[in-house]
Amino acid sequence: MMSSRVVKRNDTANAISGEVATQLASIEEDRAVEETHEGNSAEESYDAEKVDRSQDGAPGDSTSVTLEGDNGGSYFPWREELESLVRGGVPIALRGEMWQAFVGVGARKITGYYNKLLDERTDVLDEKDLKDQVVNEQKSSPKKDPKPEKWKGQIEKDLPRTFPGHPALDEDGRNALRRLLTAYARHNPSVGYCQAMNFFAGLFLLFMPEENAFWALVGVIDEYFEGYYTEEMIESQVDQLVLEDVVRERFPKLAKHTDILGVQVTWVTGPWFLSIFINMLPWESVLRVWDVILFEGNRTMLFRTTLALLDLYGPALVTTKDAGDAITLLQSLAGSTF
Amino acid sequence: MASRRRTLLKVIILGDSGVGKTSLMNQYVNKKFSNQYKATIGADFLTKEVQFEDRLFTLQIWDTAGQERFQSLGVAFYRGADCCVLVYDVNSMKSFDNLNNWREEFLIQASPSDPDNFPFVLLGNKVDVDGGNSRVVSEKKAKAWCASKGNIPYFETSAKDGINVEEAFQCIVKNALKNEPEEELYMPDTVDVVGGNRGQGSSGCC
Repeated sequence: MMSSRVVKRNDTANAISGEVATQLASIEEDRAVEETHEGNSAEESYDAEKVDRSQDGAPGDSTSVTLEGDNGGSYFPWREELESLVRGGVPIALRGEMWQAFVGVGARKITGYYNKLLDERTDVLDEKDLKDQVVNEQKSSPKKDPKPEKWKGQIEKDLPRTFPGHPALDEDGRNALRRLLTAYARHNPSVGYCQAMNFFAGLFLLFMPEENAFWALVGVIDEYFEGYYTEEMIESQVDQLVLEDVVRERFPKLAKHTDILGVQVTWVTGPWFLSIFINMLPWESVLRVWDVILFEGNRTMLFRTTLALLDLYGPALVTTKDAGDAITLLQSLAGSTF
Repeated sequence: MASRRRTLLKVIILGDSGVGKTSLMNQYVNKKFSNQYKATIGADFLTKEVQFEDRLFTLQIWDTAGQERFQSLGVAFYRGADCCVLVYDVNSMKSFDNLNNWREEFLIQASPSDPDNFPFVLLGNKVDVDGGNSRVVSEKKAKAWCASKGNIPYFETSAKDGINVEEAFQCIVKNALKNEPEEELYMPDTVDVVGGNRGQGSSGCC
């Protein structure tokens, strides 16, 4: 039902994906680009293009970037309905397409950029390549830059620690994850690689093709979570300070109690925010939270989810007698609620 | 600070990413090892009830993320720690070299009243790997470092095989108690018993 509405609205953008044509308004203009795929044209111009786009996408109101972006800012009448549908949970079969539409993967995508990032240095990106590369002429490419990429070791450590045991993260899956994280780190050196991104990248890889997953990651980290995963993690700190204030305002009893125990709610909620609830909530709930975050294009849902949990469990929390109990209860909230 | 009766012992585990902090904590608390740990984001926390010299304590163990930048987040929970466990991987020189940084960072952030005598315990983990053949940090070297930092107790552990984990945490509890301020209700003679931290401690405590 939803997809039919989207399609109606979107008559120029049909059926790139066969089963679901869920591309939303703002994505239309980039159909052509996307369809050329890793085409070899347009490569030289990607830098300029990229600047343009990032300006286009610069959110005054970040909620509306991808959904109300290009069509003369026209409000689409089914937004409310879509919103309520998204909050009800995106059907699993549509999730990959919907997420890409929400983040505006098509609009962000610059043909060839992803592969160029990976080619930038001819370092080994696959175990397999390691063997192949001896004969790979690219290896002696003059572009090779000896500058060490300090995030590399961290990525390697985290590959096997990303959804360990998940069937999709076999050797091929891990290689894709490595490429994705490497490309992102090169794309945005001010972030490079921060733990937690491995989970985001892994999550996207479960739902979309590798290159699209890269652009989804770019959307999330560059935009929705700008300043979150950089070396200083400023925005992350800001969010926790804001949350603390909101908790004080909304749940004064709880705040007073945690003060007495010498516990800060943010010790527990910090990791919730940073991981965008991955590994913190049950899987299905994680996906539901991500549905909303990607749809809204901002971090409000993190606050809403956290406040809802605190609201539910505030009464139990204020009965805890020591810091250990309080933290244990707080930690268990997320995992046991949904 | 906390004016409550003291039954909680707060322990912080620090060390480079991937040295096995989470595994050590889980081996100790849950007696389990998994090859499938996820990278720790921010900080994690477990508690365990422990009995020590006829008293019951709740051990509060904070497991931290190893990636350096997470230090810039609130590390407010370092404050009030009773013991800091430093972990390195005996198969990684870098993780050993970084111990100084972790120790100093902890002292800055936790700002204990007596930093020179604040109890640390060092664990050299993953001694099981490759039958010890990939080891690059010798026991001697580790012990020399411990000696230079005021005789920090040292243990060589395997979270995977459960080697020395229980012993190490016993020592951690003991040392955490040592940090207990005297004015609180606790018998000072016990402090004396564990007080001498000058033993060279061949993988032993105090």
